[in-house]
Formats: sequence, C-alpha cells, structure tokens
Amino acid sequence: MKYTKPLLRLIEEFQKFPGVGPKSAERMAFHLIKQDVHYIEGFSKVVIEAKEQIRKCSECFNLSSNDPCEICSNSLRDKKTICVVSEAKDLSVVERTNEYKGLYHVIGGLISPIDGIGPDDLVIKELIYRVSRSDPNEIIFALDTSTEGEATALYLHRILSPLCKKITRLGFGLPAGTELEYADELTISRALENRKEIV
Amino acid sequence: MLLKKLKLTDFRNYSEFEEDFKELKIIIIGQNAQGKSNILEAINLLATSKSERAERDSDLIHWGKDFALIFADIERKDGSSKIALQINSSGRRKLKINDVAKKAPQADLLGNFFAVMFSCDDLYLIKGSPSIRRSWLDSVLFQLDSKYHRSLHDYQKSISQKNALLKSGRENPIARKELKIQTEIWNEQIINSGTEIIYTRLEFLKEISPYSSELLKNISMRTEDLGLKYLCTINKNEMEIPNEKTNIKSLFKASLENSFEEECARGQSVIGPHRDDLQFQLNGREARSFASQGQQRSIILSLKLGEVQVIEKRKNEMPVLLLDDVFAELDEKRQDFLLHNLPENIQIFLTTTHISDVQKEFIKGAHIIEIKTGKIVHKVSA
Ligand SMILES: Nc1ncnc2c1ncn2[C@@H]1O[C@H](COP(=O)(O)OP(=O)(O)OP(=O)(O)O)[C@@H](O)[C@H]1O
Ligand SMILES: [Mg+2]
Ligand SMILES: [Zn+2]
Repeated sequence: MKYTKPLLRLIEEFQKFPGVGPKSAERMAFHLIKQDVHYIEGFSKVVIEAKEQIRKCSECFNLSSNDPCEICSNSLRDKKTICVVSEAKDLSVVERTNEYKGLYHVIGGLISPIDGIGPDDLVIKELIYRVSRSDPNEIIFALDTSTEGEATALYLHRILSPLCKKITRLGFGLPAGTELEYADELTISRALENRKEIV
Repeated sequence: MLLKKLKLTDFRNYSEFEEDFKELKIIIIGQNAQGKSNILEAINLLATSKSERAERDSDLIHWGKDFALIFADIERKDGSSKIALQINSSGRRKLKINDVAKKAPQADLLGNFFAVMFSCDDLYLIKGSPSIRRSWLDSVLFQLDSKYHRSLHDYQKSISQKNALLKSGRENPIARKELKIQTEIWNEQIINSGTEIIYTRLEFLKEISPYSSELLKNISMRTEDLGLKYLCTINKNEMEIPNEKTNIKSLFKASLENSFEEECARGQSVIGPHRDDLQFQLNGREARSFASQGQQRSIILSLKLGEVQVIEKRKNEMPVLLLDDVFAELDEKRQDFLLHNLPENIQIFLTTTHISDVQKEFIKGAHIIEIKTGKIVHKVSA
C-alpha cells in the first residue's frame, strides 16, 4: 500500500537518522502522528531549543550549553591530562566510568580516506595548539580499535609526540575492532587502568 | 566429520531442500543447470564462510526472496553441532550454533566444519589469474587458522583506505611530506596484518608440500616432482623469504619505503599479500608454461588430496570432500588414483550429469539423489 504524501515525507525524514531502516522509520512516523497537537508542538520546541542552545566548547569541542563546558570549567579536574575521543558520545562513555578526572578533546571523527575524511577535516589543529599552550603531562587516546581508530591514533602520535612526553592508548580488554560506544563501563575502566604508552 | 543433515530454504534455485545423509558417499545426479553445484556451494560455504562463485551474498538468495537459510547437522569426534546460517540481501548474516546466536557471523562460522572442494573449475588454479590461487589459499586458511580471517579483513580494509588516500593524493596534490605521514599510518597496519597473512601462507605451503609431492610422485610413477613456490611481492630481489615474523616485517617495511614513489604515481598499493602469487613447479619448471593438460590435472589432484591430509592432521577431524563434476575431467587412471588415495572414513559428496562417468566401485553403497530444477525427484539408498 502507498502512503499519503505528508506521511511518506515524514518516514523519509526518519530514515535519514543513523541506524534507522525503512521499517523503524515507519514505526516512528506512525508513533508521532498518533500524538495530539500539543505534544507535537512541545516536541518541536525541544528539538529547536536543543539546536539553539547546544554549542561546542571552544576548548575541548564537547557539546555543551556553556562555553567553556562543565568539564573544562570544573576546577576539580586535572588540567594536565587530556583524553582524546572521536565523538561526544565516546566522551560520555569514558565519563560514565567515574574513573577519569582529566579533560577531553573531541576530534569529531576518525581518519578515513574512503569517506573523504583526512586530518584537516578533524579538530586536530586546535588540539596541537591546545597541547603546545597547556603543556599536558599526559595525553590519552580513547579511540576505536578499528583500522580507522588505529590509523588516527598513529597519526596523532606522530604529530603530538614532539609536544608531549607521555602519550598513551587505552589498553588491555578492548578486542580488535571494538567501537568504544559499544564497550561496557567495566571494560573501559579496565582499559583505562591498563593504558600503555605508544612506541 | 560428517554432514548428517542439510536443509536449504530459498538458497539459489532451491525453495526447499532437506536431506539426511547417513552414508559416506553421496552422489548428486542431474542434467546441467538443475542445482547440483548449488548444493556443494552451500556445504562449502559452511566451511569457508565464502562462495567461490557468488560475487555478493545476495547472489545466493533465491530470486525475489529477502533471505536464504542453511541448516546443517554436523557430527564431529567431540560431539555434534547444529549450524543455522541466515544470508540476507543487505549483506548482513546471522548465525546460530547450537541455538546460540553468534556475534560475528563470518568469523564465528569458521572452524566448526571442514571441507575440501574439488571442482572442474580448479583446473584454472594453474592457468588462471593469481587471484584464483590467492582465493584458494584463503579458503583453506580460513578453516585452518582462526586468526587468518581477522588478519585478512584488517589487511583489506587498510589497503582500501590507503588506496583511497593515494588516489585522492593524485587528484588534489597535498604536500609530499604530509602524504607520506598519512600513508605510513596505514602502512604500519598493513605491515602487521600483512605479515600474519604471509607467514600463515608460507607455513601452510611448507606443510602441504611433502604430502602433495609424494602424491604426485605416486601418480606419475615417480617421474614428476612438484614444487610450490610462494611469489612474494615484498621480496623483489627473489631472496629466500624469511620464516620469522620479525624478519618478514622488516622486509615488508623496507619494500614499502622503496615503493612509496611508485605507489603515489600509480595511486594504489602495489606490493603486499594482495598481490602475491603461488607458482606450481613441475620438475623445477613452471607448470603454467610447461605442464601438459594431463600433468596439470595430476598436480591439482595431488594438491586437493594434500589439502585433505593437512586439514586432517591439524584439526584431527576428517574434512568432507566435495567433488563437483570432476570425474568427467579425469581419465580412468586418475579416477582410480583418486579413489584409492582417499582416507577410508571420509565423507564425499559427488555431482555428475551421467552416472556412467562414475566408477562402479564408488557407486557401491552410495546414497544417490537425482535433482531436477531445484527439487529432489528420485532417491536410491544403499
Ligand atoms: N539466486 C538464484 N535464484 C534462483 N536460481 C538460481 C540462483 N542462482 C542460480 N540459479 C540457478 O541455478 C541453476 C544452476 O545451478 P547449478 O550451478 O547448481 O547447476 P548444476 O546442476 O551444477 O549444472 P551443471 O551440470 O551445468 O554444472 C541455474 O539454472 C541458475 O539459473
Ligand atoms: Mg555444476
Ligand atoms: Zn570543554
């Protein structure tokens, strides 16, 4: 059966979401149009407000409504340690372990020439600048153990090793090919504990 | 090891296929294009996780359907297991072993079931392109070595990434120094996984060589001597390839250094195991150029029987042998040789268009099924 035009449009929009296939998009669209108008208005407002209020922290490039973000402006955090993650969602994975007390830097992706992403498309220049200015004691890479994560870590290590003596990677417990997003807290905190220096 | 039951749903030209195999010899007969090879393809897929014929998974699915299913009951020395594999048109597979869903359907399938496929297409192993020989090595090593699949997967990914980089470097020139750094981050991984691949292939060739040479000597009344030589592109000077991983690594690294300019100019990776080849030698000469048709058949026969022996030795399980249309290609002498050099307890699936092509001795005690347009139309049990 073919759906009416506006419904079809709505389904198409949902299908643009990451990880959403045609079937789920259909379900989401049906769920939404079943709600009353007040709910829809409220929902649209939440989306617009989120877009208007969420910015990137100019220090670490985490998503936040404040600049600098809650983490960068927290005086209890160790300003001499920077943990490099690829996306804001990976930052929250490391945060959830409650183990890590330093700062972050979100580079916004991984090097992947197939997808046309090179070092210049990531927040790497800003990281170099930040490191040379703040002279951290340690930089930790918390990146996927995929080939792209590996390549990005190697690249960053090349660029940052003249600027920082201790550069480490999350170690033991993360099998090859792991996306950080899907690793549980225990695995991440163990990997943090067992981080090893890159040679 | 025995395949006790095979069930196919919407696989190739089968809507439904279900059969129990109690016997060691199974003969599948039928006219051309009725679905004989499709059955062997499904069985071989369980062992190697890949198909030699299908370009992509969706080719395996019955036209117009969304997915195909392969169920198998397997009996091993250490007990029996049930495999359920779902092949989806999206390319994502699902796998259950003994009703437990597996996370990595490709890798987790391997190591549960072993098979050696010998089809008339294997005659191209000698004359065909290097990719056919690499693909053969891969299909054996997927079964033998649980790390090999992962290494090959990582290797191919790094190669595609590096190729994309080199190509974009050619289209929008970036500083040579920067391109070098960006190439090296892929090279480092290429060296790691590539070394594993080269090392594993070399070890396997070392292992199969004595078996296959001995077999070839026996077919040829001891006049023919087989050599298997791995042609390694990281080793341009044709030195002896080191058999230590660390030495392979340093050789690989040095060769990549030397090839950097060439790779930039060509916009692709030019050395590594994805370009390596295997050379068959007969009495020290390249079989590709010097072996007669008959000699080539003998070499392939020795190779396949050697493969059976290596799997049996390493895994302590007899693989299942899949013979696709080979009797039509082998003369009586070589048919005899094949039949008399098979281990006693090996299960064999054989396809043929004419039962008259099959030796009487083999037919004895065999389970025979006749296939017509994707259906069993007739059965004879021993
Ligand atoms: N995805 C598919 N869906 C339906 N039919 C298919 C599919 N793929 C292949 N076929 C059909 O399967 C048949 C080929 O089967 P197969 O290769 O097993 O033949 P065969 O019996 O081995 O023949 P031969 O004796 O010529 O080798 C062809 O008729 C082909 O059209
Ligand atoms: Mg066939
Ligand atoms: Zn911040």
